[in-house]
Amino acid sequence: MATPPDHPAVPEPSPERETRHAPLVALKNVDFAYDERPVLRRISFTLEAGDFVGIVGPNGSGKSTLVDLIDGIHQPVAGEVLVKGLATRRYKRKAMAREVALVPQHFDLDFDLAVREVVEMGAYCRGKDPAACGDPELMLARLGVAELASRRFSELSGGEKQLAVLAQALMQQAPLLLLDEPASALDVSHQLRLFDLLKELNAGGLTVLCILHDLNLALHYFDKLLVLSDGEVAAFGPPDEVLAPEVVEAVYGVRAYLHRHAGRTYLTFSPRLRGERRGRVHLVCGGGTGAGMMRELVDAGYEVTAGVLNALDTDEETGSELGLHMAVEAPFSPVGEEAHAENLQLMRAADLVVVTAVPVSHGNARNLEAARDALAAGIPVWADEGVRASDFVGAVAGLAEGGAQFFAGEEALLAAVRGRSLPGGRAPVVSPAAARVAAPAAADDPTPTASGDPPPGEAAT
Amino acid sequence: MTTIRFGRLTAALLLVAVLTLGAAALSACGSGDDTAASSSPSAAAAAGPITVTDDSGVEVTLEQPAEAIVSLAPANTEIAYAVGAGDKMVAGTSYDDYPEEATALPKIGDFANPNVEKIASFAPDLVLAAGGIQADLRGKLEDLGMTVYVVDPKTYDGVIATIENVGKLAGTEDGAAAVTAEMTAARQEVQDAVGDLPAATTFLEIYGKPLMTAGADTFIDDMITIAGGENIGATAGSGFPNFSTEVLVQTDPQVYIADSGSMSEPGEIDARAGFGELTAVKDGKVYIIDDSIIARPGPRLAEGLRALAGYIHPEAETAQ
Amino acid sequence: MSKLARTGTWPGILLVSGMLAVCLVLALALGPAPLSVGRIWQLLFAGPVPGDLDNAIFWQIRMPRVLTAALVGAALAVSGVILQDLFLNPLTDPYVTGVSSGAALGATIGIVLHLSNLSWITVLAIVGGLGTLAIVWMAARRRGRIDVFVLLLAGVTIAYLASAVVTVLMIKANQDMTAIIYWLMGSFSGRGWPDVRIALVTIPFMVLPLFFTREMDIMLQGEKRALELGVEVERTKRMLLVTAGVLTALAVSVSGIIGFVGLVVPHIVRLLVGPGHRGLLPVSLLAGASMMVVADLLSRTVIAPNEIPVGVVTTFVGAPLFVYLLRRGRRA
Repeated sequence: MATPPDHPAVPEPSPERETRHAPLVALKNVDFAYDERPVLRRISFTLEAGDFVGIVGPNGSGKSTLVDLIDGIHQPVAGEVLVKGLATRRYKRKAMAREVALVPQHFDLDFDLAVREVVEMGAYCRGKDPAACGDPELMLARLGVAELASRRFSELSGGEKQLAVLAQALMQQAPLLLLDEPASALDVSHQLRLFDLLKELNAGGLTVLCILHDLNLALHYFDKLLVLSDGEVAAFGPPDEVLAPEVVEAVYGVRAYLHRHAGRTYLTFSPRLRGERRGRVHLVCGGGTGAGMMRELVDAGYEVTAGVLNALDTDEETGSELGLHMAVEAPFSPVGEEAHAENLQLMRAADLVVVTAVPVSHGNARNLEAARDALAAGIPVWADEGVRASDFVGAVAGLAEGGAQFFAGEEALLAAVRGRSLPGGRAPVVSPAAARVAAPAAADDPTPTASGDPPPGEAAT
Repeated sequence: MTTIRFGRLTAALLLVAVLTLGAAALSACGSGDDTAASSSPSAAAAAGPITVTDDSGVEVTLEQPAEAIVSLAPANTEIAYAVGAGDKMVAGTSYDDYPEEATALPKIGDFANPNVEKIASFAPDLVLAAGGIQADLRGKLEDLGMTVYVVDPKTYDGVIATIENVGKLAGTEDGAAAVTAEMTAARQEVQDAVGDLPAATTFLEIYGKPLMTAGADTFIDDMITIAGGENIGATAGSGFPNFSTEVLVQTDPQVYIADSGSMSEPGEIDARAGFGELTAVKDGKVYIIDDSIIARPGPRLAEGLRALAGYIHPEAETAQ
Repeated sequence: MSKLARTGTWPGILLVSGMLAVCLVLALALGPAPLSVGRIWQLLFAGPVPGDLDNAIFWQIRMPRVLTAALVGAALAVSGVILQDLFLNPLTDPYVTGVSSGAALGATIGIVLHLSNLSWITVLAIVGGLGTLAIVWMAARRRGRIDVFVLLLAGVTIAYLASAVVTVLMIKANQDMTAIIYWLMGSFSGRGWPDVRIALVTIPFMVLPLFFTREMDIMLQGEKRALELGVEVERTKRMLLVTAGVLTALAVSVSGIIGFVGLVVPHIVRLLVGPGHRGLLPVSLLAGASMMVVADLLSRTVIAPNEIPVGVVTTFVGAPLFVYLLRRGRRA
């Protein structure tokens, strides 16, 4: 169940009796049901002229229905939908079309009409006076596709159709434009072109309310986002507030990671197996050697801890994004007592300690000591063979003596972790020698995952 | 639940169907035996086999005169009663309306949809069938061991010959002779009356919308000719073809006769598009003729022939 | 980058008007009763004059028959356009709504009851057709909306039901079978001025949809999109359904059931002028009239003095033409 986070649902300007300034659209406690099946519950929000708002939410959350309600196609079961202060049920269709234009999600036309004819239909609500109706060719030209005018609508590509239908909707000259997933059939360049265009139209005074699925486009383009979840408003407000990872997680049931990069905020996702903890793994890493493994293990459902890492270290940053519990030391400082103690605690709580091919120096040699303590406490320690090569202080030898097992690289390590059931404490029957035998097979992969590369689970768009 | 109920209903229907079929089959077998048993002793007493050729050119042979006759057409029923074989009739069609006693006969269905099972259930030794839509029926009935005579005459004399044949098959030659004598007399009488008169162009309407007529090669055409008319319909081919209204008006018949089966009425005919200019209409020579005396190839055609002659050459009748 | 290779609206209307004029002239000039061109000319200017057989043939037989055919053809074509576009189903013809079967049932009842006056049969056919429309309409009504899909299903179902009743009546009233079969087959034989008068009633119903061509265009995108663009969909749909129903009922009551025109003419015309109703409706109207006039001309002349049922001719003329245009249309 999506619980609305503590972002305030938009502060109602509450123009109770203020007929002088009615918002463009106002929904007040709207319930809607198809037959007996409830679709929307207690929806309240307002749109002011000039707003540029995106609607996001999982499939079936009622986004299209909401848009249809605003356009008066459906009438609410309870509550009120007001357009310019007047209930939608009081509008005749033509009058409604002059206030609200809609670009539908699915649009097809089996009949052999020219694009010009299709676009021209949008002017229906403007009556028969050609001057009032506008020129379909000009409208297409404005969208940069003048050449489509005389082609058959049925022969257009998906993106061209989308633009033609947008042109049709714009012919209504309505102050509010609703769009239902206009980008779903478009490639990335057409998507960006479309949203830039909408932004431009918005700058020209058009109020835009747009359903979309791509949260990163939503973050990037819209002034405000309305998050629908299970028929209710989960959040409404500025995008980066509204799309906080915990909101996304609650609404979509996936793990979301918020990144800030080059002045832009973007989200990445990974599937989350809710309620299924496969065990706890502590990583001894640093310098980017553990980032990939962190993601892989988190995605695979392990609870991951790490340490000790220096703040601003690549692995530390990744761990923060992933929300891992880590023992952290100040930047460029050797592991201090406090961090070491915390690290020991984390290791003791783990079912397995994994040591990556981290460069070992005096600064972080204590981490390997900690691992040896863990071994002594009966917690298995698996290490990447590579750590031997990057050990500049001879700390690894102690690990080997303590009974740590070595694996030929990250792939082999991951495979071994996945193949083992945690927590159960049963160590895999993989001797270091056997792991070495297995290594060539893993090394067959022509593009071994470098630790800094984004893992496959990162579904950024 | 619904499925179960459906299942039961289907089963019940199937059961009823099977039982019905079984009973019909049994009764058919049983009656077959009866026929065999009853026919063998009387066959010994008979004079010998009777053989005639029916209107479809098939030789029909009975070992002895028919005792149980089923008629599949009102005309056939009329013939059977007329030749004196009425007491041998065991079943007729639901449209049998002449003579009066024929209406009391058990029915085997109607002219267009005779029921083979029903026919078989009467165990007839002679079935008087018709041509046309009953053409397929002969094989089925013969497969069931019945003897079939097809009544499908194309001329007035053909009707006379058919009546003679039915008389032979039913062992009532004398009755048949009386009927054919009357028919021949009627023919002679009409010929005598109209013989020297010029033929009057005549249109005989079988159905009005669309216009249909009696073509060449029909006993109606033959009768119009005998009655001193020239059948316009003969130009449209044989059988009962439809006919162009334009051509009808252009040909301008002197006499217009509508079969009562067309359900047309004289006033309505006069009022039809373009008919006001017809000589027949102007002269008041538009008649409705009872279809049972003109369209049934039976004994009452004598009556029909006289009526036709009266319509086509009223002056001849007055002269007579 | 293919552009639409078809004639515009006005050239299309002019072209087909010319075609209809030629068809009418041919149909009036030619017939099983040979009349010379000079004679036709004379008759045309003489007007209906009593006492002249040729005049009667021309003015009382040929003229009303040709006009009836033209009106029925036009009505069926317009009805076909409306229903195909309302149901968004290219296989729809004027008969799917059950109206024709209802009309057939009405006519059959008239025939069986021996209401020998043929105009009674016509009246009963109209009553049967419109009655069926009412039943189908009620079946498809849900919360003040007409569900066209339910309407289509209900129409087909009622059509089967009415046909079954007609069959039962035919069996029960055997002596009327021929009459019923001929009525069902459809014909213009013997149609006179009273039939023209009934057929003339179709004209306002053919003109009415011409005022709603924009709405009809928009509704090609589906009912929902039409609502979004400002069309009062329910009202328009109702008006169009009643119009198509009345046109079909009137046509069928005058001529019986004549197939193919209502199905094929709209398709042919779409290939010529496109699916826009400003061209499609008037051109279909004219083309339907032309096709029916030609079909009737062939039906009464080819094997004169016999007649070929006009439905057979419409199929023979329409089917190859349709296939040809479809193939040509695909190549374009």
